[in-house]
Amino acid sequence: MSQTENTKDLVLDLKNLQVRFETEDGICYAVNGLDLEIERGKALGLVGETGAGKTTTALSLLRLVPDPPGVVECEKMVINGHDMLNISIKELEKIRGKDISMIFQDPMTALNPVFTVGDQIAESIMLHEDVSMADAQRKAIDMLELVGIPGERAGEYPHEFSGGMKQRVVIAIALACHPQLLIADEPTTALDVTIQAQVLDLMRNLRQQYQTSLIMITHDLGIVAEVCDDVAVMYGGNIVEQGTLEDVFNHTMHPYTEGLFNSLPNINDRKAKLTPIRGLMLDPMDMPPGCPFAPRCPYYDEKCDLPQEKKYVTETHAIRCCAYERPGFHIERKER
Amino acid sequence: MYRYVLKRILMMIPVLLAVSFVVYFLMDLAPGDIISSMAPQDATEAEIEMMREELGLNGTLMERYFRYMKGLIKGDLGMSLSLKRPVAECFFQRFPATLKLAFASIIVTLLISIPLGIAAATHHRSVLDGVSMVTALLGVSMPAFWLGLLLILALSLKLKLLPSGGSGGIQYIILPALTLGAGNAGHMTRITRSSMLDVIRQDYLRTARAKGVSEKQVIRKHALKNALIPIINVFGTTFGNSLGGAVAIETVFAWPGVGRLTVSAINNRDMTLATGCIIMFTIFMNITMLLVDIAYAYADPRIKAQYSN
Repeated sequence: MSQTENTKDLVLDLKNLQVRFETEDGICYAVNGLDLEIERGKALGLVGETGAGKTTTALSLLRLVPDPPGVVECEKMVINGHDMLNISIKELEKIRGKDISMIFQDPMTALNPVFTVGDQIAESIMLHEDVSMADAQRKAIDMLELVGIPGERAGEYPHEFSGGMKQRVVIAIALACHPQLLIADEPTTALDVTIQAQVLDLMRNLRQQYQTSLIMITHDLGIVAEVCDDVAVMYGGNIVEQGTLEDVFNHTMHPYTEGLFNSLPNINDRKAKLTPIRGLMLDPMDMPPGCPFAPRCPYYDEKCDLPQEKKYVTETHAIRCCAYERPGFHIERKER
Repeated sequence: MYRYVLKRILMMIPVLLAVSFVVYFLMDLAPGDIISSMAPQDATEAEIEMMREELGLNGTLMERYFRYMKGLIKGDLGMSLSLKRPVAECFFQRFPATLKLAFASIIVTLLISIPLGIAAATHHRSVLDGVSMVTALLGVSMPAFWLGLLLILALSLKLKLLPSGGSGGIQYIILPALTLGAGNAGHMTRITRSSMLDVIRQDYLRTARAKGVSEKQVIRKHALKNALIPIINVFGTTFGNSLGGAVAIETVFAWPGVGRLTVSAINNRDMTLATGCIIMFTIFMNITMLLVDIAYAYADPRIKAQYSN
């Protein structure tokens, strides 16, 4: 890993990201020491159950974690060559939407109800490109057509569109200035299955067209398999397993990832009972010092209560789990 | 949209009928009438009856009401009993002063309340928020005439900067406009703040920030336009109310508006003038509220869509 570090063309280089929310009821530790690297043109799937810290990680990349109550601390955050930790608000505004942009989770609330969709796309273009209002409007219409919405609907308001179309408008806004890094936060969760496929196709095409790097936040492993090159599995505010699609899907190592796969419904045996991961998502107000998954882990022993180091199993595959120090340890993926 | 406006204008007719009825009958219930103050001490019964007939005050209440309504339908508000001039003429002679004060005071209100309300909302729970809310509460609770007297004491008697009353150049309107505007600003600030607070946590503002929109623009453009509906509503009501004249302020500052005209008409039992003035207020209030509803449509396209259905 270390030999290749200098030659890699990184769009995102993130080291030791910590995000906590200081509320009246206590401190909520949302992200705890997360590292992430993304090479130009690659797509990373960020997987994990609700509350794992996926969206908070994404928002902290845009420096959009609400403050107060949010506190973001980080050793290194470089996006497309910009050191995000030491820049002025003005520079940050230039980077948002241009170098990095985000597709938000809920299309129903992500669009401003009192501006036309054309204006909302054009606004982004006006901010980042040196064009006239008329040119920006024309480009906005092109973007709409690119995501499969007739250009003449640019003058309509969000309430005149269906959920799937609103999501496509949100995508059009995010892609309007051809960002180098696109974060898609569960872009298909609010959509019908048929529309999901359309939206994923669309994103894949656009990515090929503009060489955009992608962080796909989802809890749908199927989408990850379809869209991503690499996968990072998050639990309790940190990445517990990370590697290529092949590494994580076919050579699963972390007990939590195992639990995720085992809890998928089996399409070959529809009568089979679902196997959930036992226990509940941990309380981020009360983070254990050791492995966050330990209380739910079937392979738990005392060493799990110590802080877990990130270990590379192969050049691309890393996990945070001490169980592999035990001789002969392996997990059990259900056969399909 | 046009059909909606037409419908709203037609709806004013029953409102005006009801208002004229209520006002006319309430005036009749008041003890004493204009004759007793106009007739000489030694007038005979026959002379008083003659005066009554002359002024159109003879007959039963219903007869008088219908006689009055016959004129009103033709647009005739009748003659003022005490001023001996047409009611419309009396009203519109005074109305420009009221209109001037209404505009001047609403400008004061907007200049104070919109920036203060936005600042309080964007600095929610900060010292600034606390200070502006206490100031707003003060504005709401302080009686207008008292604030007016304080301002006169400070600015005209002590500092001798502005005239204490009367009308004429622009210097005369400053104090009454300030008094009326500051009083209304209290309510308006609170509405602006709470409306902005509702909007400020919305997801679409995050979308705007993620596009690279500056914080200033996020608040002024994206948030404010969404927060406008309640603000427009209070703005309209406040403005409509001040078209009816601000009696206390007109009295304190000797401002020649319609508020004082109406009060003196009621005191003199001048039936036609009082009823006429109140009918005019009703019309202005209705028009203002109609304009408010039309403004809604421009602020929020979803409401515009509703109007067209």
